[in-house]
Amino acid sequence: MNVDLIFKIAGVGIVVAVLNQLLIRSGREEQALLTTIAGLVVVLYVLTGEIGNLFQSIKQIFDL
Amino acid sequence: MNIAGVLGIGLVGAFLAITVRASRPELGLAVGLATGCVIFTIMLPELSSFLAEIESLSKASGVEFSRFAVMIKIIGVAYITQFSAEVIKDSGENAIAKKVEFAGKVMILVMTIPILKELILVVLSTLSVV
Repeated sequence: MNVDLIFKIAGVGIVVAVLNQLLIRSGREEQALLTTIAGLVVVLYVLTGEIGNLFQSIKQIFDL
Repeated sequence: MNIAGVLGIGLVGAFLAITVRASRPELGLAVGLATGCVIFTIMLPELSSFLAEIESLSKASGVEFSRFAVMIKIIGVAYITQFSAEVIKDSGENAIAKKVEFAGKVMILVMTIPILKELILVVLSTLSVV
């Protein structure tokens, strides 16, 4: 099963948080913001596919 | 997948969500969403086998299957509406969650109208016979 999905997203979150802190400490606020947005986009990209699959199979099972 | 596995996934997901939420709230929400998605996907085959059983049972009982089909559809709409509404509620947007729930209720109401109509017609024809 795709339990890896949770770890993947949590990993992205932790890495983005660390990078954010590092960039803010070194005085690059705008790059920190960009990192945050990039992380969010990557996570949403992965997640929308999975949610699409989920809703597709629910539709199929319940004949919606 | 047994129930212990699902509970484990839920606990691990909650743990990771809390950890990530402390620094990046929006990614914490994504972790929660992913956990819900995984658990739902694991449970879908079980649900589908249960629905198949219900279908064969209803066919054996002789009742017209379209009634059960409407009921099953309503359960499906309720599941996905609740799933989305819970995620939105988790993100703190209670107002949007309420609107999503409202949309689900309206859709369910629309789906029940044919059966309701049939019932009312039956009642009316019975009354006119009496």
